[in-house]
Amino acid sequence: MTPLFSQMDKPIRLEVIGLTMSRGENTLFEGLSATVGSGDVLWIQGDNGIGKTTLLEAMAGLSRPDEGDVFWLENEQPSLANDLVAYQPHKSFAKAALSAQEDLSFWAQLYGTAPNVEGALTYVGLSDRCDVTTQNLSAGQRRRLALATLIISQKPIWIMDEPSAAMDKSGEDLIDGLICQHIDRGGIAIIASHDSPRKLGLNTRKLTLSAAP
Amino acid sequence: MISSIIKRDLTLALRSGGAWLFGLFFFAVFIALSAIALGGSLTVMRPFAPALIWLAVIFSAMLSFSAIFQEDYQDGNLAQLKTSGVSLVSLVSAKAISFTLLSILPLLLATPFAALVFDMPPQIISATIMSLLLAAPALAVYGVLSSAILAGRRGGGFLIVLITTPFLIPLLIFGLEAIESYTKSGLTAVEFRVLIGLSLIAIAVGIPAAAAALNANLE
Repeated sequence: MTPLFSQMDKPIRLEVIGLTMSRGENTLFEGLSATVGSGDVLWIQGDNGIGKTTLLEAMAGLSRPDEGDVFWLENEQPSLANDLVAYQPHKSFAKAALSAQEDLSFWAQLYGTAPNVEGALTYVGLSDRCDVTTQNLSAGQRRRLALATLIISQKPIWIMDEPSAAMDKSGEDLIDGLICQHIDRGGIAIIASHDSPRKLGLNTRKLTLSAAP
Repeated sequence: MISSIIKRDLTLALRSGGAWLFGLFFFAVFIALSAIALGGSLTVMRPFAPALIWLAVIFSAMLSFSAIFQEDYQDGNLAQLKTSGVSLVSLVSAKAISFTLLSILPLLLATPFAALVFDMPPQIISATIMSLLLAAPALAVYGVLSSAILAGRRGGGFLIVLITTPFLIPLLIFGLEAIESYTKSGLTAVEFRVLIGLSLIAIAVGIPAAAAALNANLE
């Protein structure tokens, strides 16, 4: 059986250079640059509507910036976002009519990591909810299911949009534990959150977006 | 990869409380209303039967076109599928296959029953089914293409009709011509070959175009 957190041997880097993005007519940020590498945690903070999700989507390769570039590097070689990034959106994407196990198994088949499904569900504390359809899970449990999807993706760059929303205390500890495990094996975690940033791992940084005065 | 997507689509459809049978229901109502509108006389209806069945299939398929990517776009599944590294060509092919199975196959299976309403001769029934079968891939691909172009846009239903109609006209023309020629030359009629050609062109052009449209809508 493959381990849930297999070691990532190749150094990974995500580089954002001179990023400018807007929503409608509104420019959200201009000339934003940042670099995150293996073992780094980056907290993205800022008020509602300031552009956190837009930035995350650009980092996940899901939206095209107006200006600037995002590079995903594996072994210093440019790679595709699809190969390196796992994105946990703010909203649950679990299909209502599927059970937690079925939903996760589907993604596991796409990622080719099917043997990990049971383990991932147990890790996020859903082992007794495997056969419950996701529409009958609570909001927090659906967030846990999304975390399980991150685990089984086996991708080095985790981009998480408000992972702790609707989570109880044990859920927050679970997220911290997960991120620690992930960066220990050489992954990258980028988290947009309203929580106060916690130091996870050796290289934890904070990026605050704020409105121009 | 393709098979897991198809399997999930089928499971979701079967658990949707019969929503996937809406097209079939529309097909049956269309046939029944046409029979009433034409006065119910078999001698009047018989010559129109293949055309009415073709129209019923096309309209009923059109009704389901917009739904192909709509839900997956709105609930974030398309974005997840994209980041998961699935090639969009595989995704689009999978969607075309599940659309064929869920929305077109039931119509083909219902065609013999519709034929009973119009008292069609057996030869024309097989010709109609054959022509629909050969046109099914094109119908599915154009559905997927239009849905991919309009994924994430509001009021897509109206535009879908506008986008797909020009593609469906040749299918309709050659489909009905094929049924007519079937009585003379059977399956060797040239119109059947044209239908196969139209389906192959649809697959060759429509699948990559749908993948590109989807990619553009996800950026």
